[in-house]
Amino acid sequence: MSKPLQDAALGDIASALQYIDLPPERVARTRPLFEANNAIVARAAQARLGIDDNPGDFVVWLESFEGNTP
Amino acid sequence: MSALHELSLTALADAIAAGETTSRAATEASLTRLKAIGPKVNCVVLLEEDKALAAADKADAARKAGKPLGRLHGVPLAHKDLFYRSGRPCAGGSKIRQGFVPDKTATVLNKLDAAGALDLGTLHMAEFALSPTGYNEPYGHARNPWNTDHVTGGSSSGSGAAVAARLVSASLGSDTGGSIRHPAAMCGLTGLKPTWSRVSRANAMPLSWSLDCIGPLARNARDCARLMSIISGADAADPTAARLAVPDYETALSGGLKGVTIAVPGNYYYEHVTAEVKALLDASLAALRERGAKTVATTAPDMSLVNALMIVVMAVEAAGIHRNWLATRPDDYADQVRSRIEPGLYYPATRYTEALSLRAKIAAEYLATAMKGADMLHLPALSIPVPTIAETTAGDPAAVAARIGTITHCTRGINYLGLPALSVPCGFAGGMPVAFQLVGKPFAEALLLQAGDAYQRVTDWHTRAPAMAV
Repeated sequence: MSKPLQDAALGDIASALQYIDLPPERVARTRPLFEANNAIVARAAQARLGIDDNPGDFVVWLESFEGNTP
Repeated sequence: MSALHELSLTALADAIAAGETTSRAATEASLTRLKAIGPKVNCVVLLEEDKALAAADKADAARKAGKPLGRLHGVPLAHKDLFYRSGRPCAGGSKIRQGFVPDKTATVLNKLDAAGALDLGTLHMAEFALSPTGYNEPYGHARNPWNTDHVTGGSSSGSGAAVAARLVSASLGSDTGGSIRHPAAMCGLTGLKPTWSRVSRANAMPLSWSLDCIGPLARNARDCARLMSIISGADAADPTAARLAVPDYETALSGGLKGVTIAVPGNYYYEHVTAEVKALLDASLAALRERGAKTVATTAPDMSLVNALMIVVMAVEAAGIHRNWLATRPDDYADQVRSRIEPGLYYPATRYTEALSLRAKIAAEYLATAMKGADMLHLPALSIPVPTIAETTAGDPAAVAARIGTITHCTRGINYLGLPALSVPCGFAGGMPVAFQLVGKPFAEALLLQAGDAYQRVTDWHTRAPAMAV
């Protein structure tokens, strides 16, 4: 079970890994949006992705519509 | 013949080719309006007057000499300040890139050059292409020619204002979450976001590689069709550009829609639509039926998922592009812009690859559900009447953020899905333009343009122009 990070902790981790000063007050401003989107995508990936899915599938899917060009 | 500034792109190109006017006359007319009206709507960044007039004279001489003419021979244009031209400054609407002079030229500009178009200079845009309203703190917001208290829509704000005010006949923009469709919708223009990969992005300032698309803003669907025929196609400088054949999009404009089925998803996309806007959207559907189309009601799938996926991809890619400047020059970003990029620094890399790996499945599900066997979707381009600049910049930050979020409600998900979308004007609410968008299957731009053109043969919203005298 994952535990929620404090703003300061998230800021510390991001600052350390991104080499940018990200004080807690800036993290707090965008935190709700970040947290909501992160959770939505994580849940969708858990439910729908298998080992054979990859980003290249999208180009293959797009180009399967070649017949749409007159 | 109408005054030159009143001519559409194709009408002007045809008039120059036929010798009914000259490139010099068209270029002088455009430059006069850009200099006189441009500052009133804050849409011009840079004009290269001498170069443009010399190119116009050269174009006129070539025509007189009977040389072969391109499809935009001698037509003066100007584009968003995001397309690099070797030796010309390109700030991308930002303070940070002020003084940047590229040594390469965007493929789309090279293609327009090859078709004979002239390039008058660069047009204003939202800072780093990151605002659906056209917000630009360093250089001021562009203003809507229909009412200068209102936003133009963004991020291709200068393109929207310049084409609407009849300063140029068309302009290229870029669209990562609606940046062509917003200004097209809010300024009363026709704008096409192509299928992702249909048009090369080489040497155009990026925001998000997986979402960015380049396309036209023009007076009508025919003008968009001509521009798309020129700028689309494979490009050695952009390995992501599709290698599929490029059709002549103008030949698809048959005027009829018999046999075409248009799906109208009635749930998510109508959540914020006002009664005035709804009545105009309904009337546009009736006009499309009059041209022979059949309309069917469908339901959009879970758009909170599509929107979340789009935001993760955009934020992470934008953060990757901007990380160095976020570290070294954070105060040179407007706060509204910086706050949209920063969350990209927090998402785990796994979330980003998951968002990209899900894309094919989610897009296929979207077509199966929202389009459900139809040929295209009809959606609002903007749910609400065009807001004022004050409504999107001042007051309660939460209310401002909510209003800005509403602007992208119908557009941003389409970029994650990679689908083509055409914004078409369909009336006015409170004196400001209203538009619908047609969303197609991948690479079905020709069908969207056919539908837009068919609609414009029985309506005249696209011919209305704001009163802006020199």
